[in-house]
Amino acid sequence: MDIYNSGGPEVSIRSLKKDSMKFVLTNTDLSVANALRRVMIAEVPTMAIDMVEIETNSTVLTDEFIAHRLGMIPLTSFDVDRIQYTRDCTCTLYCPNCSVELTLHVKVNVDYDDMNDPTIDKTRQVTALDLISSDESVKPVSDDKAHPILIVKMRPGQELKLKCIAKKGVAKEHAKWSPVYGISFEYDPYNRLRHSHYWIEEDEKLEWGVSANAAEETPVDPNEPFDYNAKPDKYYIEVETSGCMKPEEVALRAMTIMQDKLGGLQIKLDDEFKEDTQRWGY
Amino acid sequence: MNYNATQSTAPKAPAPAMTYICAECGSDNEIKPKEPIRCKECGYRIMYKKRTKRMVQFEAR
Repeated sequence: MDIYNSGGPEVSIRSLKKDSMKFVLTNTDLSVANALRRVMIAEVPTMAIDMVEIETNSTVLTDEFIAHRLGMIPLTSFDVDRIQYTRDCTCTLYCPNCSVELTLHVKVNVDYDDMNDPTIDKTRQVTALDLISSDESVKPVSDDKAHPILIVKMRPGQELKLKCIAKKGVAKEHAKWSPVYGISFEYDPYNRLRHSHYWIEEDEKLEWGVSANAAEETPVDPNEPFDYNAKPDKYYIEVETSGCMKPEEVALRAMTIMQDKLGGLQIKLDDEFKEDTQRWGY
Repeated sequence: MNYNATQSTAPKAPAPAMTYICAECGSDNEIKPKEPIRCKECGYRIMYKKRTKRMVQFEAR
């Protein structure tokens, strides 16, 4: 297939689950496929806790320790377009247009009746479910109600009271804003293009098996000559999200972001050429 | 310049007693400035400062 003479890039979805998706990208350059991967990881905006105002903390963890843990909690972000970046907002620090408030107040009371009974577990697990959001569409991801995200463990008599400010951001500023937990990216499973150099003990074929994606390609005939002009054009991508948005949404948003960036570049280049024509007349 | 000028002319406010926690026995101790740092209960000389009652702000990163 020739990239430049056919319809353009194509995507075919192989599996689509609640928080992961496998697809095959064809008819495009390696650089474009890699750009899509990088944009999905680092430039799709999501919501994450960015400021923590602690009023009381008598737990065993320090304030900054808890603040950092809160920042890493994934928040549902399917409605993130509604929220502005704080740097673009007219407010000075934060406001409802560019942030969402979450509060947490847990106080463990001392029960004097079973205080001295070692058989009773008096540990209170403070989890992401204790965070009360002011916005129904931005709240901690809680797909597994039996195992919510643990923030801190408390014993009777301790108290934790705080307010969190969640803001919109992208992962190139801080990884907590990344919508994906992992992306697998493969091309050329038979190593026809010889981009991979395998480290081996004795036998390459025995020690390095082919991946499941190899079923879609023809094995390399050992007698055929090496085509040094060949380029990859089929990419096997799997996206696993944090649960903050659907995997297909991550991919689509990433493609829109790439388009917007190229659109901006095109407009700027057009302006530049127009200016040159006016000045030099060519 | 004498930086202490304003300090000396201002009327002296009564020194507020601060509460500290004894590192040995854990009891509260009210200690005024220039007072010896010594626990009233056990005589220990290491004290902890209490946490502020004000809100503290952190960046979650």
